[in-house]
Amino acid sequence: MNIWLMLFVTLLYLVLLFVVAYVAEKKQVLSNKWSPFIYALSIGVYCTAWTFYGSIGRATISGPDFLAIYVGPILLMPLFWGFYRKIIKISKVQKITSIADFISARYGKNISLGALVAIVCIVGIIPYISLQIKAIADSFDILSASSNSASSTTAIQTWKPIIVTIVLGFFIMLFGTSKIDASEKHRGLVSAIAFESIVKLFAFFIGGVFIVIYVLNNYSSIEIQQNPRLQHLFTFNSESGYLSWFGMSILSFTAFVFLPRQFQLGVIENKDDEHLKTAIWVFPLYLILINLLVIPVAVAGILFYNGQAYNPDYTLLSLPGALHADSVSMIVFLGGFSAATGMIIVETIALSTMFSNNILIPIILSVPALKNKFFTQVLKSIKWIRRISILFLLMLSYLYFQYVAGKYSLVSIGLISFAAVAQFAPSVMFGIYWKRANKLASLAGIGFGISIWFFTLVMPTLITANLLPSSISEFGLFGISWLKPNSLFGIAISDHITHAFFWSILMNLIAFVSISLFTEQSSDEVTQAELFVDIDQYSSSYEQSFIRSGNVNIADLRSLLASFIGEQKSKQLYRQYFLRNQLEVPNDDQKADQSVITYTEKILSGVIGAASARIILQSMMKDEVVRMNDVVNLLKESQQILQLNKELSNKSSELSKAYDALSKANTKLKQIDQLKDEFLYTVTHELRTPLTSVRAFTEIMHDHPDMDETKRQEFLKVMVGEMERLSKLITQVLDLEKLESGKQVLHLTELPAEQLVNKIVDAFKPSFEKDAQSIEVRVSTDKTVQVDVDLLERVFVNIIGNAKKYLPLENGNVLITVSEIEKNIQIDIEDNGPGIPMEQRLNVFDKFYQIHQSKKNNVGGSGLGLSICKKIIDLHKGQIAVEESVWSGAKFIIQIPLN
Amino acid sequence: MKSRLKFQRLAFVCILAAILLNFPMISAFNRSVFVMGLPILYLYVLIVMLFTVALSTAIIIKK
Repeated sequence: MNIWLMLFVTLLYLVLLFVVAYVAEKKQVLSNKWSPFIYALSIGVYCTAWTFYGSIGRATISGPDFLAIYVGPILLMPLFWGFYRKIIKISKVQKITSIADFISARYGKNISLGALVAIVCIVGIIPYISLQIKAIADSFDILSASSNSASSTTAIQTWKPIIVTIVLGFFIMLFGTSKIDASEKHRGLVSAIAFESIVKLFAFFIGGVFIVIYVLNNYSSIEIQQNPRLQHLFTFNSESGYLSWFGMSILSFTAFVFLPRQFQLGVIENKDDEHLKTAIWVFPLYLILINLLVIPVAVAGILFYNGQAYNPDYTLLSLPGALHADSVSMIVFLGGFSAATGMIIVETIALSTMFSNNILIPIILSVPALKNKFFTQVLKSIKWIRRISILFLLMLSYLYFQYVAGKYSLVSIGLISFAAVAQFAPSVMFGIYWKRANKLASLAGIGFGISIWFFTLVMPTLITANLLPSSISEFGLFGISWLKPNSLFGIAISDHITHAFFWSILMNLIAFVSISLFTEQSSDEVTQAELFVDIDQYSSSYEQSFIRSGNVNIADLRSLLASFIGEQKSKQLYRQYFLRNQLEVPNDDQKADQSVITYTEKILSGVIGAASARIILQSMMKDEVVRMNDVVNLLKESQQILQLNKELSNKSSELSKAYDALSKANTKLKQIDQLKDEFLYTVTHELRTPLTSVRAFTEIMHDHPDMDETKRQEFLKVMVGEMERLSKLITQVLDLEKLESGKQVLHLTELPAEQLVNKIVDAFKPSFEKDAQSIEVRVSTDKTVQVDVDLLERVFVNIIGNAKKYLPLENGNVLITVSEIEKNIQIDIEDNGPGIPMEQRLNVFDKFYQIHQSKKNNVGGSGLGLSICKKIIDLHKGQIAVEESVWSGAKFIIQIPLN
Repeated sequence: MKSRLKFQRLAFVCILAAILLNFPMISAFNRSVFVMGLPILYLYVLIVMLFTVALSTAIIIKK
């Protein structure tokens, strides 16, 4: 294909990309409901040229294990909602700008840690970027060589990679440095990357489907399934296949979180953590789709070339070329180009942020001469520092490509980068869940890990490139046999990536955990550890939860911020802050309080990173050393208040329950009190009646000493009667009190029911006979009962006595029936007296009832008799009721249980 | 409390998928057998992946 045409199309594509980014940045083309999808697609930057071309190469050579680096991220998806969202939340609150910033912020905003992480990223990722340059250069070569390319000049061939690198460099500068605040969202960038994700998927499908139709369709399925040269594509070849599969899936699992470009798009560019809900299924489906045709294309390549030598990495590109389908080749080339550029753009932006914020700016701030220059033109300086970083990084990548990368396949270089960033796993994972994890541990862990990574993975590549003597891999470093890069400590693990990953992570973890356990944290670290681990408690009150001491006034703070983000914006930000927190706007010469200082530091962190922002503010405030205890106490205090609140609300609900119970008891007491009052009233009333009459008669006798004897006798008789009534009443009241208070003890005796009744009746008989009245007993049972005979006799005496009082003078009749009904002895006492009216039958057992209701018919009762009867029967667990008798008199029914 | 349960469920799905996609479970499908013309190993991996994604999406979206 004509090389000028290719260059033109490539350039056109870059312009298109820029337009997409520009439009997305300036105008809202798509509605907000698409932003979760744009976010999910932008994470698809995970699929680089290594996926686009390299998967097919790896599949052709070693079968299924190309899939392992996609299995890792898919296994991570269930943990997205917990683990990944926590990282996003922390980064939002702390205005984190990169993975280096994140780790340095967690461990007390430490500068050396931030620099170490940045260096690891740069050293680890540069080969990966150069891999993308290599892919672009190679695909260019293949595409231009695939036709009669006489017009292609060697000059262009040689200079092409550097031209591509420089063009991309300018492109990235336009993209990445338009905004000073690195923690701000770059909507344009995200949209452009999402667009690239669509382009590469589309291109892969066009190429893949073309190859399936025009190459694979020429072979029958039996031919494919039974071809011995294809068998290794369908199965793992040995036990070691499983090991490297396992190692690579864990490796890609960690790399997916910690790769600078993934961190940039997944964490820093995340607008809303709700977007994860969409990403969790869109992203895995994307991965599955882009890998769907890998095996068919690899099979087609092997069958098509049939033993001839070819570079399997570029099967997708070379097959359409060989079939002279230039437009398909061009689309595939653009797909690969988009995969490579997407990675280069985001990775370079992320790395340049780290390089400038974590390495260059701290260096500038530590040299007084540079520092003063920096402060005179902050905005411009930062922009230029970023631009220079971008060019520097791209140049490094180019040099690596030129001198080292050419000798390796796509996949092996990518995995080396994965293993480098995996070293951050202990520092981040322990860092967000374990408060004890400290700075020294993180430094040592990453340091040890990356050293082993360098020794086991990078040294062999340098040896192969003849930059180091080969004796190291044969006899070990300095001739020590257990220091061989491919079998460290004499333990050989067949897959060299798994070998390196195992040893580096193991040493990293041991160093990290042991140092965390055996050393103490500084106050800065304690604060940040609290804020990271308990992010949910602090996310809404970050500024308030911070503590520092030191003096600075508002005006100084504002002019500091203004030099970074501009006068107007800083004024606006402060105004918003005071408004949001409902604070009074302070005067310029007033001292700034802690929350304002923290807020300023946070804004500044977004621009130059947490560690640099800390240095600047510290130098400004001449920070006094904050005692460790103060920090811990203050942070704990807020948690204790929360705890106290909870306890208080528990207590108050308990109290309200107790209050309810008390008020019920109170109502009951009041009722009882009222009853008592009524009772007292009635009793005194009843006592007064006989007393009054006794007094009246006594007075008459006193006033008339000459009263004749018969009258005196008559008076005295009345007085004795009244006194008897009085003493009877008092006895009854005492009895009732005894029964009601539960002091009455039953003295149970067992005797036949008949005997119980007969005894009473015999006692009454004489008086009945005297008045020509009859009393009769009918007994139809021979059962015995257990009763307190004295008490029960009083019941009968009372009822029979009452009956007798009301009996008519002629033919008065009382009939007592004793029978057995349903395990009860029932005793009915009937008479032919006037009876008790229906409406009063229920009340006759109430205290003083009779007296209250029917004074007219008073025949001298106290009104307590029947209520005493009822109490006695109740004590026997029996029942008493009143009905109408067969003679329309009263009928009392008493039931006493047999047991 | 409720979100804790959600995390536990998701962690369970992750562990389950990790076990299903590794030795020795995966070795059961490591053979030259074709189902509907597709190698059984890939079919198995694909199904486990889809299952993992579907399950975790369901857990997260469920109120």
